[in-house]
Amino acid sequence: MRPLSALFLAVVILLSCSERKRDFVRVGVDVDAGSLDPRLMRDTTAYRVVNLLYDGLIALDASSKPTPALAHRWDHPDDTTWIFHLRDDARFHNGTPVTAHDVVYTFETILDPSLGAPLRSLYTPIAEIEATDEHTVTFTLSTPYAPLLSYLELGIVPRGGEATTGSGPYRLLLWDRGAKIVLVAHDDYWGGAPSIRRIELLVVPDNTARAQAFEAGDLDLIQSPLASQDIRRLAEDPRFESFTSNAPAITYLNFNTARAPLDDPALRKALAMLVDQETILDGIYEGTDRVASSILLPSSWAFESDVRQPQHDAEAAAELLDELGWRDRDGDGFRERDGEPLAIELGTHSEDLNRVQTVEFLQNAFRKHGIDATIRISDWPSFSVRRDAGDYDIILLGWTQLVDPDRVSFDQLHTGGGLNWGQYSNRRLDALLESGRTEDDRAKRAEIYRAAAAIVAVELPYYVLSYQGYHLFTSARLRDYEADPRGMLRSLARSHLAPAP
Amino acid sequence: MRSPTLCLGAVLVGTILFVAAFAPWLSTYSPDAMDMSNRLAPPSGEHVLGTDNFGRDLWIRMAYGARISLAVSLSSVSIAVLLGGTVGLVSGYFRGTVDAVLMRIVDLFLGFPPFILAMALVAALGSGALSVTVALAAVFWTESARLVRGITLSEVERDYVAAARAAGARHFRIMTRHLLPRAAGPVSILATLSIGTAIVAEAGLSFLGFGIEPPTPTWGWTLAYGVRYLRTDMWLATVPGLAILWTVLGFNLLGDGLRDRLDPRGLARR
Amino acid sequence: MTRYALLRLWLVVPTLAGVLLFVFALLELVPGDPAVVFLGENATPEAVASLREELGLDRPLPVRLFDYGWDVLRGDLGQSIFQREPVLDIVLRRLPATLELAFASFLLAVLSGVALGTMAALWRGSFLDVAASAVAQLGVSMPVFWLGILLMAWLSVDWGWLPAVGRGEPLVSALTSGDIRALTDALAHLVLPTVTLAIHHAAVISRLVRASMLTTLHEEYVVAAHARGLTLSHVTAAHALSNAILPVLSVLGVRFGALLGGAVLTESIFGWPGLGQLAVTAISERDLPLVQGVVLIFALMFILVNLLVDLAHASLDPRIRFATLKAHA
Repeated sequence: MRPLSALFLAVVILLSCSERKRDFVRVGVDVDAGSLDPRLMRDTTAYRVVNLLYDGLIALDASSKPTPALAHRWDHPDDTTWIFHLRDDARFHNGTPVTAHDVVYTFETILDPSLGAPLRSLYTPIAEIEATDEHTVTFTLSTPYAPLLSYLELGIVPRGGEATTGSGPYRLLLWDRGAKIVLVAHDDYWGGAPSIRRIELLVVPDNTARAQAFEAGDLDLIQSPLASQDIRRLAEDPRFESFTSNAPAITYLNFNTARAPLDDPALRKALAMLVDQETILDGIYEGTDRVASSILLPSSWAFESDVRQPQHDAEAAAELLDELGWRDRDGDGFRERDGEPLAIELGTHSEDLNRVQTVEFLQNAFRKHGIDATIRISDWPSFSVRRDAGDYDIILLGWTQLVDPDRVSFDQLHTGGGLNWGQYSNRRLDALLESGRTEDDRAKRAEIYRAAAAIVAVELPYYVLSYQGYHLFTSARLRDYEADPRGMLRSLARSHLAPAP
Repeated sequence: MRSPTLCLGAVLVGTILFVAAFAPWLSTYSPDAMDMSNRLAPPSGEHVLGTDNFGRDLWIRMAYGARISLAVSLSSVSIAVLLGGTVGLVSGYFRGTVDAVLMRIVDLFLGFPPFILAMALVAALGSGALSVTVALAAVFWTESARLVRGITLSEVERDYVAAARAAGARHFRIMTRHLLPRAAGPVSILATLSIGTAIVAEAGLSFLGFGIEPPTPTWGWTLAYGVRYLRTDMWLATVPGLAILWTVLGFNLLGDGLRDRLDPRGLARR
Repeated sequence: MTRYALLRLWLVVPTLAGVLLFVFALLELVPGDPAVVFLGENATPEAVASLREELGLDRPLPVRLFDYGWDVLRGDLGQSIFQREPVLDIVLRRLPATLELAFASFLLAVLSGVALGTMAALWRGSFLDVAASAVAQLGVSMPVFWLGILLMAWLSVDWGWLPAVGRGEPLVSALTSGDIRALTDALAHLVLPTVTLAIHHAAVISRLVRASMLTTLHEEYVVAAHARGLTLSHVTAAHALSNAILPVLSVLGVRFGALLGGAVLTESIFGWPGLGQLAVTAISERDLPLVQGVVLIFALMFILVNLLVDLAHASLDPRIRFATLKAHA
């Protein structure tokens, strides 16, 4: 045993002497990207890495406003035509120039159902796309479609080229699936060669382990999703730069409006009033997310603080339940009506511990007020099967990447919408959501979505628990990094690495 | 022969059994009573082991957790021993084709990495105490099957079995009256040791998100989310961790002590 | 001996076929649709239906099972749903990381287990024996993820000795390249997961060695050797240990298998890019071909290791050979 421990000690000493100096940036991510083809991306890591590898026609800034990227300007001559003028100095990583034909190719393939693009439905109003000349692209829409511009951030891939080749500031050097992605600077980048020459994205699935690795100096940048207690701790640590903002994302309760007794909006209101948002967000989320008032995001141009869901008021909720006829007549501690007990199942998925705890908290609150609440938690695939089949009462989940109010409402709440699992149906809301898509004027759209959000806040097919926060931490050696609320890493191309001491 | 191992094991297991049996009378707190204004309170006179992230008293939750942990581990091991014992006995007694077929089934389960098998089973059955029990039994039964088969194989050649056969005893009688008692000692040792492994495995499954769902107060789940508070509220992981350590240690010492006493040849070896 | 080896090798085939059938049936019971998971939260029902068709998930179970079995026979483990790459390529790329971790842990567990166990047996009842037993008992009783995260918190975060997560260069290529920095980096990354994974097994082995040593120490020929005037240390080296190792050998196969299985948790904690982590991801994505591929490789490794152990055992102990041959004659 003695030689063994001596060996161990020697190794440890040797290792601690060899200071881990890095001349590159290492980023910690929670999952590997599923695909680095912008047309096939579906997870946050893919969104974030694709954003470094590819350029879209436009780029969205921190407030989701479109800014020039591959297209240096665009015209909108009538409500079904968009014309984009491409810059002529953009080149793909393989050296070929980016042309209008590549843009046409990208959109034609994403619209082709056989590619199986997860985001295809965002682009279906595009009827035709044409390369007017080498550097001009014309989109013709089948119907006016206001959100389109926000969705044209989609990375452009070269016609017939390799799927992982883009024109962004970094190119893919190595992809060790499930372990790491290595990117190197693209020197021909039209925005100038990046100062940081190499970026490694390391997959560390466990949130706690990832935070510890960052603290130990193994990682230079970590960002949401993070455990709330790590956020609290790291934010207080003077060694690190921290950044907090609102993500364009919500966490919400989805009521199954097709199921009795939840088909009664008054009951949904009573249940919503039992949700103590403040306590949940202070306690479980430790202040990392913010109390929400409606489906409109505070960062959105459509936001209106007067649109409010019912406030937490347990006494009023109990009174309302009594009024509705839900009373505990047999003294078992749970309310009944016409012999039917008020039994409700709360569900969520096991991957997000905050959601699991929130559901646990809600169950406790519901039971305290005479509702026989049970919990059902399973991993995401099992959860999503039940969700898609409408086999649930109330589920807690989220929406992300909400760059336009259409993105959180049309598919979700329109009658028969593809993501309307709770089968909510309201003709007035349908009409509003339809006009929101076709109306071009932003001020008018804002009015439309405020009216829509007001209906949702009263009828409560959704009860929005929180506006998700976005948190990012960087080590002191990473300079000039500007955080993006969606977690996009584009700013690394403009950042610098402090020289090793 | 006095065995300190056995005594210590018995004391550790005895306390846990006591806590589990009298859980409701061990505290004035309820395991479900949340107090969000007093969350993550460190151990104090008011809450001897502190409170969890919902302000629930950790001591009473650990006491109720003992019931769950013991129920899950004891029942999964019982199922495993019953199933494995039967398979092993039949396999070792009849030998030949029966043995070959049964042992291939055992190999098949052994070839499956235990955690992957358990995860797949919990995913298939839905999370909950029953699923976890079944999943753990599916992982553990092969060990007792192999052990009992080995013992039966060596015993079945002995004179007393031949004598019983000659006296006209039926297969079932020989197996239950003559062979089973020989295996009882080693099997009970294996079972005792497996209980500890089952408790640890339940915690591991919770960590991967395939455990017993809240609000059931389990040690495994409390530890799994407790490690997330490791750097800020250390005791939250330490308390369930030590509860697991205490119990598993108890059963392991008990198993080792029993082995010294009942199985000097070391058949029930892991 | 050759005949015995061939017979054992032949028995691998039905076992693997059974594993395949079993994993196929089990995954069929697991709710969750890979197409839904693949397409993410914004997927439309039409997209799901067309992907299911493309993946062949809409075909009846017997057809899929038959096709899969036929493909496997031809050495084709299918295509991963999520990585859109042949399963075999993915699994083979992950295999070295898991083997590296498993061998390192195995080596550490056996070396420290045998050393601790021998010392505990030689100085039975001493402080050393009690301390070794205590360490062994704690090692067996501690949930591995708790231990792993504690070690990471102390050794990496607080003391900054070791990297917390990930893997350096593959150890073999770092060794052959002669690059000292790459080698220390590879070793540094290996330490925490190795220790975490090894502790439990080291504890089990040490208890086993101790018990086994105690038995042999009391056997007559050791007493005889002692009587011939050899000192105690010679006795232990020459006789007791070599005899005590035989029963240990028989559990090493099971240990190695358990170690591979235990890698699932350890790899997930330390972001070690091996098969265990891959298995967890594959199950949580319902990437069925990939789960099947991983389980098949695990089973194959487990069976081969046990085969080797059995062969080693049989060459040491001819009775086993004859018994097996007789049973299958």
